[in-house]
Amino acid sequence: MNLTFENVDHTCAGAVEHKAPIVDLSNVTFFRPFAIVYLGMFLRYQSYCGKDCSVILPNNVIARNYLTRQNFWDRFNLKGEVVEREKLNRVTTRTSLNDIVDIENSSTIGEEVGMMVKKVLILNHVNTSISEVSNAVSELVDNFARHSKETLAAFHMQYYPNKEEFTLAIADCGIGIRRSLSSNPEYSDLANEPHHIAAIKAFEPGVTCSTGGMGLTEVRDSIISLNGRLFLSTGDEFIKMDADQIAYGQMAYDLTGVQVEVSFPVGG
Amino acid sequence: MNKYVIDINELTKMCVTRHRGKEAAEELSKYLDKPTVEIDLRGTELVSLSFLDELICHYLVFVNDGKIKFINNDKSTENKLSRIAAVRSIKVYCHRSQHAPFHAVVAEEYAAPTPMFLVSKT
Repeated sequence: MNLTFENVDHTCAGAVEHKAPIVDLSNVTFFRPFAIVYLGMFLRYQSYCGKDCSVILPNNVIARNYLTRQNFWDRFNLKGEVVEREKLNRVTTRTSLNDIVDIENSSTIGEEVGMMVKKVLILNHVNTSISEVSNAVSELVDNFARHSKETLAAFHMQYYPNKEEFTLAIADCGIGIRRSLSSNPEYSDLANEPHHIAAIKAFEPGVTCSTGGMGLTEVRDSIISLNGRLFLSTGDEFIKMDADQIAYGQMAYDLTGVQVEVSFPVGG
Repeated sequence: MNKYVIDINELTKMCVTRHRGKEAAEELSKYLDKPTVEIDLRGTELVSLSFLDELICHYLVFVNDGKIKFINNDKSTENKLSRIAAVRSIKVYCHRSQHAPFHAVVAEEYAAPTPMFLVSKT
């Protein structure tokens, strides 16, 4: 089973049906970046709520080693014995950052992560507008650092040479777009709207909770110019965006904060 | 000399993010005793919208009055300047080289609203 934007919320919703949440990854053979950061934020949020989550590891060795390579257990699973055991398999490759990056609320984190991504793309001789992609990464990361009201968000990237696709994901379990935007009196009405209304509004130029409001506009511009696509979930709703249209709908699990995946087609 | 031309790379190391825009704005303040300052954007690979917006927002009146102008020959950067002009309700003056005539970038024509659909996930 591929764990993706399409089904990771169902996995999390299934987990909380148990008194002590159990995340069953036993059938997972492949993780998309969105699924990794969404799952990570689910585990982190459960931890904030004082709930101890159990995780049933993937039976598939490749999937299991992928999580280990990305340092998933160190980042999100607080159980020492799992972290220690899985660390034994940690090997690196050159098509990802080989780690889930903690996004701290610092003024230069956006450009730092943008540069890290740029290095991976250059190393792999990726045929795309590397500057524009790394700029979109910088703006997205900067946006999370500035607005999430959380100390840490998580960033993950993967280049798929065979699919000729570059994908990044970033997530937090902070206050979410609706609450953030509606703290600005100009957008206070959004507090009573569904999450997707606030999420779509946030991509308009100049729309922000404080000052600025151009970062997500720039991400949207990059999606249009590079023919990319975006998934964003916030609360119990999601939006999907590509160069031509925006779709929205319900998430099976109501996770606080914002979780985003952006993909760009690239040449090898 | 009525004008002072400054390369954007003298104001900041990188032209992305709001943080760097603020840094450039602070550095620019050292040159505002000149009657006119022209910021040359041609020496950088990419200038982000947030960066330009932060820089311009520090000096909205000066930009609107033409005391601060831009030299730029990149179409995408001009689009960004025009978007800022629209959102901040100001004029932004630009020219393509030091000797070319100035023009005020105008608010770009926004495309029709993106169509929206309600969809279900699998």
